[in-house]
Amino acid sequence: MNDLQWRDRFVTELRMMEVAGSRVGDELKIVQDHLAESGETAEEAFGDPAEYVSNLGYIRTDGNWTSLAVIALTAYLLTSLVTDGVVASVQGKDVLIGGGDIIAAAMAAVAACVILVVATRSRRPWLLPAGLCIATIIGSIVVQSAWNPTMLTVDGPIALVIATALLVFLIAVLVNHAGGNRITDPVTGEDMMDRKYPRR
Amino acid sequence: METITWPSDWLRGTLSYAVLGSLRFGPMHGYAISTALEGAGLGKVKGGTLYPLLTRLAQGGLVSSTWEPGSAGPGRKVFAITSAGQLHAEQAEELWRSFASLISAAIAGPARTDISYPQNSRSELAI
Repeated sequence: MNDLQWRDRFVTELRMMEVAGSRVGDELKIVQDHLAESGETAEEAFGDPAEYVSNLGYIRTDGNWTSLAVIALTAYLLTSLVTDGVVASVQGKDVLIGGGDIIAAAMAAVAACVILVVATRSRRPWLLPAGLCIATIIGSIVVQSAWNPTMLTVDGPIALVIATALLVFLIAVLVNHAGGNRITDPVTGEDMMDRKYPRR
Repeated sequence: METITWPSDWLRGTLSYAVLGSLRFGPMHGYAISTALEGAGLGKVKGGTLYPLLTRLAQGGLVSSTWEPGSAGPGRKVFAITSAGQLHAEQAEELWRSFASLISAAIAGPARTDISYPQNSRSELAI
């Protein structure tokens, strides 16, 4: 295994432990610094990457539930408000938000969290999440058809304005989430996985 | 200096004290600690052993670390002993001297009669 392959396996192992990008960068920089000084290969100095990661004492987590639930909930509300808002605006009617709609949104958030847990623990991470997605969609339709008393009435154009605000919020959360997972050099702040980043 | 390969279980139990001891000379980056330990006759300590140990010492509050930009090469993570680490090392030094004396006497068997138990032999220095 050459140093580049070692690095990729090391990063993958840390990612599987849900270690934050900044911490991955810290660990990677320590390895690079040591190799630059010692002249050893990564495998000589640090052994098997998986074993080294296990010795570093990171505890596996199930990811960030809160942010995923917020993303799922926002995405669901955004989709609903856009579709209902457009239809209501065209027809000159109000958007009616019912109890079933609220339950369906909550179901989407819970399903997203369960999917996250399954995806990080299961050997076949696609099977149960796929089933859960289908079950959530069917469940939402059933709930909204069976019980959906109007809880809130919103003008069509206002629904679209709210949807726009939710879209901006969703983009900000996603950008922030992606930025937090970047593997950055703890000294220079450069992206360590970028091709332009110096291989030392 | 003649290189002796020490039994690995001896090193496993004592390496943290040796690392703390090397940091009593001043802050060092990882490879310098490894070189210092090798220079002290303890043999080559691989990065795969040293950095997890430094992480545990840092988690225990015995060592602190900061990144310092390198003038020519990559930035370095510099490790320093904390006041708690200093105290821990001093206690370990005293206790170890007594322990080594006891073990030497125990190994020597009936030839040694000058065994004296230290006053603080019940101290706990687990890391």
